[in-house]
Amino acid sequence: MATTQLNQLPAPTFSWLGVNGTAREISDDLADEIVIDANDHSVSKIEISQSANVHINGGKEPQFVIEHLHAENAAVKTTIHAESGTHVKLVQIITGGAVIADLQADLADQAALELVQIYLNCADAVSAITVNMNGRKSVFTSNIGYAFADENALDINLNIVQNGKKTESDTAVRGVLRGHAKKIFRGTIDFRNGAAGASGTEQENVLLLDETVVNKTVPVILCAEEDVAGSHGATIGQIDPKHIFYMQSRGIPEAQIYEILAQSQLGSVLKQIGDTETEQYAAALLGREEQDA
Amino acid sequence: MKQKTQVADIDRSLYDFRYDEDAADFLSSGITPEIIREISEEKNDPDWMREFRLKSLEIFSRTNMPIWGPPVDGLDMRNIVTYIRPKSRMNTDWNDVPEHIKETFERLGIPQAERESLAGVGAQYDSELVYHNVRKEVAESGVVYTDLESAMHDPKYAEIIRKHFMKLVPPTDHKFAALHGAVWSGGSFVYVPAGVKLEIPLQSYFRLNAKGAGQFEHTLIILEENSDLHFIEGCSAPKYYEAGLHAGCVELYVGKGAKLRYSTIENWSKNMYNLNTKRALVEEGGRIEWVSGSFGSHVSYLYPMSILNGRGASAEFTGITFAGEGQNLDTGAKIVHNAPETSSHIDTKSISKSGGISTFRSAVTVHENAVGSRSSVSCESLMLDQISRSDTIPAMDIRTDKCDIGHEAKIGRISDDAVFYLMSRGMDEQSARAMIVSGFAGNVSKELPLEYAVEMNNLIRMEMTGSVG
Repeated sequence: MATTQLNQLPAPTFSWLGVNGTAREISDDLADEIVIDANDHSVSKIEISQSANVHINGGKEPQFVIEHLHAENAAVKTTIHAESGTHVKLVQIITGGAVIADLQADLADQAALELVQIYLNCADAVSAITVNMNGRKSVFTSNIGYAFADENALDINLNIVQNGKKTESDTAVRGVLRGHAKKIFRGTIDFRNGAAGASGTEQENVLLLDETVVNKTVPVILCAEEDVAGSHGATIGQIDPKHIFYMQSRGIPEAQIYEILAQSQLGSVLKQIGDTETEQYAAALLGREEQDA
Repeated sequence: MKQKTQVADIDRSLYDFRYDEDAADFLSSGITPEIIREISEEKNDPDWMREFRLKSLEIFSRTNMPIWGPPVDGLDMRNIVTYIRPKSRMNTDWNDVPEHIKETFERLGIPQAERESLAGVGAQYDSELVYHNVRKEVAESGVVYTDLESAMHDPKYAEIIRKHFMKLVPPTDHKFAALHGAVWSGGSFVYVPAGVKLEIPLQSYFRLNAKGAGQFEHTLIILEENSDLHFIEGCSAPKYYEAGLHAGCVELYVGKGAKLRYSTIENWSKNMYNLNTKRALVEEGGRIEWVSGSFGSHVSYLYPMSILNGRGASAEFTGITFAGEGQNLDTGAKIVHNAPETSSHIDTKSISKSGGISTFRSAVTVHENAVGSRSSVSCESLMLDQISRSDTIPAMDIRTDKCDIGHEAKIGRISDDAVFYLMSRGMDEQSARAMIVSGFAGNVSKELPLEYAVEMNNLIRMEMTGSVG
């Protein structure tokens, strides 16, 4: 085991906030190698229960890969090479214990990556997502959802590097925190010099359901190019007490109210999965987590 | 094909005049216990202050530089002169101020502003206050506006100073807070009694004339219950090739139901490292309003902090940063919600041109006890060319569910459509662009007293002159 620095914020800030990065011990065990080739079209579903390296190579046909990572203690690295004009969609459902997920993607000219990630109450999840948009007119869209409760923790570092001209990125993050859950979301849009005509948006919406949660949000824009349009936003807060009162007045028990709220908060992310079976599976997992919480 | 914008450098002739200092007035450069003792002796410090300075020096020596923010490699503390002996004692009549110092402040328009629109003025030249005066009727209302060192030696205020000095910004806060604790000199003390509301502002102006020197003034303002004050701070220096350092400290205590507006137009020369620390503690129902314009300095680290410590306390930060050639300005605000039903709003604009780097950095923290609190942050950045840089690094740390927190940021360039529209109404392109930038900065100028808003708009207009090429 070796201690490794993870999720370093591309532009560090006030040290006392504790958001500049984290550290974990990572096992030196050999990881499984899984390759999804450009010729493997239609839907590829992968169950991962131990450390693995997953390689996805975009081809002429759209790639649709669903990873379900459910491990007690594992580090999984997924790399995506999307060649010119290719389209890759990756859905990751991440559950379990201590999980380290690392996603690195390179997008060539007019390549598109669609990412859907759902994190459900892992004991300790650390996730790094780096998307290098080197190709002209490459497109990255992501929908990220999370529901965490108990003493569990989530640490995400999303870094979108827009190098290519007229690249587009759009990130939507929706989450629910309960109990003593802790979450850090770092989301960086990095417009590099030369990325003329690029645009990037990022929005996080966090629903806090208990007074003991800890939510940290760091939405960063780095900009070295004049001709870009970037924006980010975050809304963090409670559910309107009037809504809870209304549902209680209709006879819905409090535990079920929270389940409904969590489902509705993550509903728009679940809908982006695009595979009915996986969507139902994720919805069932979400419902179970909320009942347990 | 797009025509690139050529933006002229700011005309700093208003600020770039200087007078030679007598070398005998300089203490040795560098930071050593001997120099600290010498400063303390020059100032006839009480024992507790001398000990405080030496303790701060220890903290300075063992504290590392921050791992974030713009580089400060060009700042060699061994070459910085931390104290310059005054050529004059503090005066309450401009006629008693040495001629070249009086002329300096006259060229900056301070005596005129005092006559026309201020309740009181303090003027610091290098390390010491040279002038301090307050209108008779203001003094009669019980308002104290004097230099901090006189107050420290006055039995009426000595204990108040000791109770509050560097309690909000302790020397352990960061390396340059420790430096300030060791070498501070000059600055103002303001005390506003309960219920007293000043209709017109007080102003302090800080001028650093000497080459290779530092300015370390300390401003301490205490507002008692239900009082009201607008305090304006201005600063400038002539340009030298040697690095200069400003590591001032501002501590503001806003009492129950009191309201303080603290406005700053910072226009240091472009060889200055502006490593300043400002902090306010706001009690129940109190309000702090920061209005900040950052135009000067080579490097800036500036993030006024508001600690909302009583139920219903509120803070508002309105700021603009304009980074041109050779400037790396890292500015923003910090808010701590530490009581129920507190509220805060941050509204900033930043403009980058000619290779300038502008960074907005903020932190909003909401503690467990701050139930029912609200905060909103809005920052917008404007890039005027391809060679500049603009970064936005906000952070939120939220530890209760019973709050509403919002954040939004935008970055972009001047809209071609907006320029086209204004030109279709008969404006030339340069005027159209200048008007758009002035409008972009409108959030700050509308919060300043008229004469300061005019000065700020003039600065922007000068920046934009020749902006079409």
